[in-house]
Amino acid sequence: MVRLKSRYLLFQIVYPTDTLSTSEDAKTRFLKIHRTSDASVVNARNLTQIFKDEMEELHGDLGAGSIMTTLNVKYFSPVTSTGIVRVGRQFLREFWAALTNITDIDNTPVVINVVHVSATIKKCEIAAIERNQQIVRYLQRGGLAVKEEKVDMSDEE
Amino acid sequence: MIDLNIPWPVSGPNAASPSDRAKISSAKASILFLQELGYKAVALNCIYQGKIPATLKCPVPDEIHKEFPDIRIYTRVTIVAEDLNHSFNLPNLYQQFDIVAIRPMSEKMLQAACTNLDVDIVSMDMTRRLPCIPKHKTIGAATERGVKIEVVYAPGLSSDPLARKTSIANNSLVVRAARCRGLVISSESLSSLSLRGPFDIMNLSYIWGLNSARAREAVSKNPEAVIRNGLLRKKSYKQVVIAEPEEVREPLRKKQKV
Repeated sequence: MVRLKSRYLLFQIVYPTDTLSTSEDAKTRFLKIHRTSDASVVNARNLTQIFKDEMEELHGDLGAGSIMTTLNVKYFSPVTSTGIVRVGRQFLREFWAALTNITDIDNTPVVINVVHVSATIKKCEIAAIERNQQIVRYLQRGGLAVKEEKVDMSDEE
Repeated sequence: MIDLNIPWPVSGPNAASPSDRAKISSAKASILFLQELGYKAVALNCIYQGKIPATLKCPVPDEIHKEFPDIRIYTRVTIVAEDLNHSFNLPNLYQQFDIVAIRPMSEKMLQAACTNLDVDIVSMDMTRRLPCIPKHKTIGAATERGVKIEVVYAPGLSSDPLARKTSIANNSLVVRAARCRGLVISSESLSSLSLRGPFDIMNLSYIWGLNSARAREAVSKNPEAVIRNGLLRKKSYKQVVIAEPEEVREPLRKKQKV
């Protein structure tokens, strides 16, 4: 008997707006998009239901049934709007596509951005912590760090 | 990571009407949002129907490059072409825009666009039924010449199930006809609400039948090739020599040092 393999997705809920403008500095813009979530609406239990519904909408009964037993939102932090969700390995692609297709939660437009995929929850946790540290450093510098990084990238190309 | 399709309003004689201004500000918000999602370059798309006047000017202001210092911005024109006999004044378009794309509305036009016309991208209207089932022979001719085929994902993210189905059907058809080669994936999204991160798109293209290596090419290597081709045509002499002012050449020199 082969053991049940699963994948853990580190995802982030971002809130797109049409009110971004170049007159604000990078930090303000960043905080506008990466808002904290309303914990009464966006929490682990509701997200599980939302993901299941979306899976059913995109892939029908077959899709919804195939992830029903494995899908589980392991962790969600409303403060940083990031979370970890577990799904059976076979259905990773289908499930990820469903996440991408989510356009709103409770009529608030959202974009779900998958940041990291791994086979153990521990690696996901490490990735989440590292990412948060990066973001904090970025904000402390007032949104300057990313600019330097981008120059480097364009040189490499 | 490049998105080659952010629609930019094309105004007639009454420039700067309120609706246009709203569209411009939402396009700018889209650029900023793409930047946050990790894109390095975008192309602003101006769509024209039918005949193209000989004196067409690019509606995107030049200052836009200064306004967004952290992301590369290109201009693109898309001609919605129904009749082969219309003159598109391509030489003028080459001067005005970085990228020239064509949207064929009939099978004949698609054939011509893929085999003859000197354009960068062939883009189909994914929101409606395709004018014909694209054949590998036609699409393959385009890929052979280095003309890229565009696949668009934003219409597939709408809440309307019919629009989703049409989008998935059309995208799968195009991907199949192209045998996964020479594709570019872009958004064509009117607001920042239906933009997605590059890795999410690579995965999304799995349901159209693209494998992950080809999907990665379709958001990075292929659009980069389109841009390079467009710039060469615009700025170079016979695609061989480029004469540019000093400040434009700066990044090149940096690269040599490294």
